Amino acid sequence: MRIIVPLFLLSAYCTTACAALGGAPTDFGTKDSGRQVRVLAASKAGSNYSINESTLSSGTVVREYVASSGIVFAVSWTGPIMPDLQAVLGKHVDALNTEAAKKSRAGNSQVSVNRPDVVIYSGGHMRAYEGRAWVTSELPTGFTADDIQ
Amino acid sequence: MRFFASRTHFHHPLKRISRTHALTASRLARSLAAAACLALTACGGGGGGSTATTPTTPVAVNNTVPMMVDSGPAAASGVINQPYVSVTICAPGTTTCQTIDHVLVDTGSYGLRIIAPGLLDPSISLPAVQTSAGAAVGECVKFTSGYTWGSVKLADVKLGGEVASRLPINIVGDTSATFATTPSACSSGASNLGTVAKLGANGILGIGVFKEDCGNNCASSPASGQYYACTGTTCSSTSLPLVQQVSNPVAAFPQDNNGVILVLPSVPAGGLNSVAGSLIFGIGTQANNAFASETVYATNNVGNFTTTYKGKVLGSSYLDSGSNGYYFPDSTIALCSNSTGFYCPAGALSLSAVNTAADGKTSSTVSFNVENVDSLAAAVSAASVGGTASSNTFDWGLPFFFGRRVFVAIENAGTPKGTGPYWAY
Repeated sequence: MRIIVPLFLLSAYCTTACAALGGAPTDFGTKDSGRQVRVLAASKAGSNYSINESTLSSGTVVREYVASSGIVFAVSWTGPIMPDLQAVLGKHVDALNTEAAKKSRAGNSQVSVNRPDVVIYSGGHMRAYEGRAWVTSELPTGFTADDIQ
Repeated sequence: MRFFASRTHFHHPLKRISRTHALTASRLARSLAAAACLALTACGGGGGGSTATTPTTPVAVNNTVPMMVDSGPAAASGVINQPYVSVTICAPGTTTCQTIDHVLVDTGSYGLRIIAPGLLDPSISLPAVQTSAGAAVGECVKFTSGYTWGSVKLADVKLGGEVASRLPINIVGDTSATFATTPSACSSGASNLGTVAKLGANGILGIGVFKEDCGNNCASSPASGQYYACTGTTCSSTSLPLVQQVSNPVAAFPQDNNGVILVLPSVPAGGLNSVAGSLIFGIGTQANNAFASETVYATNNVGNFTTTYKGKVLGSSYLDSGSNGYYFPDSTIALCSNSTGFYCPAGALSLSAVNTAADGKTSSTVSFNVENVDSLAAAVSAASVGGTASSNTFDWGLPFFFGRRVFVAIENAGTPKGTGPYWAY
């Protein structure tokens, strides 16, 4: 029975938003009743996109960069408590955990993934975490990683 | 050659101190307590405050503990650049104590965390921190790559002659049924770091610039993924008053409580197999913790200052003894094939960056070297190595502390050079 409950919750969550990076924007509302969201329009070098900015109950701010196609091509987070990385990174969270597990030297202060398809940085310290990730093939024309704030 | 010259000097005092099972009748615990009582003029916490009739010169408490950089606890492997001390925890007000070796000294966190499974002596009964409704308090800590989950309990925490009484500490991996199930908001998308092997340490001694691990952010309303109220086997997110939060032991000492100084010798090219230094409590409170030529660098309200590296302003930069290298963004340096996330330049790099205080009042250039991690001898546990970081961060990890005295002043604490939070070096 303990197994059934979490699976049910997970499936309910996925029906509304099981995508995050590389998919549709995340609805943190299903997991975080205290969150606030605002959507900002932006453009770079003729490419239009929007930024979904969610302020979680922890105070941490998650910004999702959404292409006109509706796909989240980049994400960043900054704040006192790490966000739910499953919700933020979607399927790409596995890449982060795989890289973290591969570390031949103990040390967990900074974790990064640098693959042809996805780049992820997760770092910071207690009360001040931050990170960013992007799907290289989905970046709009003219948008670079330095444009992620 | 460098190895031989250094190796001969090093002992491993921490390695010899395995867990001390100081149970109910332990002579060791009693003698420790007796020593503390001799040193503390007000030992007993209010029991006999009226006995002093003539002013006496206060006897300075032993405010120093040995700090080692070595290969870590037996269950860890591949450890590099992790500084350790031994910490004694006692059931509050008793001499039932346990000394735990290889606790990571971490200026990037706040509060004491001990790994419970296989390590914590269950006969030391630590009282649970409870919510106003009587629920046991659980804590999730989400680090950059994983989480820890456990309980919050009260302990007397002893470091040298210093004692933090009835301090909330985090028992990671608490084996009781109440904490058997990790809340999904804690574990989602992350791996469990709450083991000796994963941490490369038996615990974490968070002695950074803040008092509580969460602070006001968790005191006013529940913050998702931090404190939990646990009843039976069910835990739900809760707020927690500041005084009940897991807290920096140093701020709770009766004296020498305004910060710490980390002292480590320099480490030559090629690294060392072990390094011996010290962790000193207090700033400007005793003869051994006065300022010399160090400069103060104020941090902002989250513990960061600014580093400028190769013309890029990195606004979320910090000193972190719990980081095992210099972590900074530089796409021109080759990454390692073996050590994920580390830099592996063909030859050692001599680099520099400028640190600027958060209040802009002080600024200076820091020169540093980055060696190829994969080329180091396997036994090396201290070396100047580095790795990648996000585009806004310079994480000055343990190599920065080699050959320096680094002062860490706690928020709102008065010191001879102003009020914390700040670093000085």
